[in-house]
This record gives sequence, structure tokens and C-alpha cells, in this order.
Amino acid sequence: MKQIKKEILIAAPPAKVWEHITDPKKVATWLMPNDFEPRVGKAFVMHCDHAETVSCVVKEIVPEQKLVYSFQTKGLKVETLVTITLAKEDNHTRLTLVHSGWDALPPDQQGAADSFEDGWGGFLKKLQQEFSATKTN
Amino acid sequence: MPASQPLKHRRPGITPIIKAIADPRRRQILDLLAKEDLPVGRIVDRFRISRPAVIKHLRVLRMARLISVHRSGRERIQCLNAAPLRDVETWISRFEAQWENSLQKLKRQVEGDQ
Repeated sequence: MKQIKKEILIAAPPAKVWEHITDPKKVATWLMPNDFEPRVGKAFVMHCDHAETVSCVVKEIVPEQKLVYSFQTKGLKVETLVTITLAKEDNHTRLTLVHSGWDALPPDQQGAADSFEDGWGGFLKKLQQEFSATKTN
Repeated sequence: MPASQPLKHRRPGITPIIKAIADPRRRQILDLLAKEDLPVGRIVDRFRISRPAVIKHLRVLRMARLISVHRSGRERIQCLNAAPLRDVETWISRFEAQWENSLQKLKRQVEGDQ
């Protein structure tokens, strides 16, 4: 399954990092302007000046440890999931960001679960191999 | 004579592509066409669904530019065109680059706030 995973070590305690990932004003300067509130179920949007507006809903909050929200762009009706976790490492914080769910089916396709393929991630790869093979022939 | 070109040159966004491949039946059709080009009738034979249903799936795939059609006598041969799938990969990797950039900014921002 296709997912994006990023890790970064920040020279600050988790409490400080948490502040910067949950205070909307602070989030605006490193990510995007937004109307985030740290409350499960809160729907918020992030505005991107060079791409589409992102619609989000807060899914999970564990203060200073974990933040999960759904992430859906206006054009693409596939709801993806952003999970940010913080772990203390000596005087640092290890931040892990996972952006998953790219193979999620649109809601109107959920009934069609009789798939013999495991999501379209593997399928994509297979077709691309096929494509590059025909290119080189 | 140049290779047959689609009438519309405008590239569709990736939403039609993702919607097209989100359906397992359509993935099965693409799987078949990855092995060989096939006329509609042969595709219908492989599934326990009606001809109109298969034609509907083929239309969705064609709109997403995932298949092209060539005429051979009275038959319409369906061919796989996997190129648009690259747009999906590109689109996802764009997000990856954005996160990388944003997290570097976050690091500088937090470390500057001591």
C-alpha cells in the first residue's frame, strides 16, 4: 500500500513541538493557513496558495503524543489520513508523519469489495512495469 | 500516417483515473488488457456481467484515458494505455515533497522558539 512516511528529529521537548502542530497560527507559518482546533470531530480547512484547499476532520488527539486528521483535497474525493506522532528522545523529539489511505475507495465504490486485487497500489506497479516493458520493446 | 490520436488532447485530471481504478471490476478489465488487446465481446465472455455493464466500465476507463480503441473490421479492439497512471504517482510524490519541505520549516520554527 502506498503511503508517505517522514521522520524528523527536533531539538525541543514534545510539549514545545505539540504547541507548533496544534496552534493554528503556528501551524500557518510552517504548513498552511487553517482554522484548526484541537478537538476530535472538528472539521477544518487548510488553504494552499498554489494548490487546492484541503478539507480535514480531527480524528484523534493524544496531547503531546499523537494527532490524526483526515485530509481530502477539493478535486480528489479520496479521503486520506495524516498521522503525526511525537516521541521523546533525550532532549529531542522524534516527529513521525504518515500520510496514508491513497488507495481508499471512493464511498460509492465501497460495496464493490469482491476485489481480487489488494488495493490499487500493487496494481499500479504491475501496470507500470507492463508499460515500461512495452516502451523498451 | 501517424498513430491514431484521441480527438481530445486535453489531459483529464487524476480524479477520473483514480475513480476508474477504484472499481475492482475495472481493475480486472485492465488486468486482462495488460496481457492482450481484446474486442468487447471477448471481454464480456470473461465476466458474469452483462454486455451493457462491461460497456459502461469500458467507457469510464476510456474517459480516464486508460484504454484506447482501435477498429479492426467490425470489431472495436480495446487496448491498455497505462501512461495516465504515472500522473497518479506524480501527484502523490508532490505531496511527499511538500511534507518534506513543511517539516523542515517546522523544525527551524520550533528550534528557533526556545
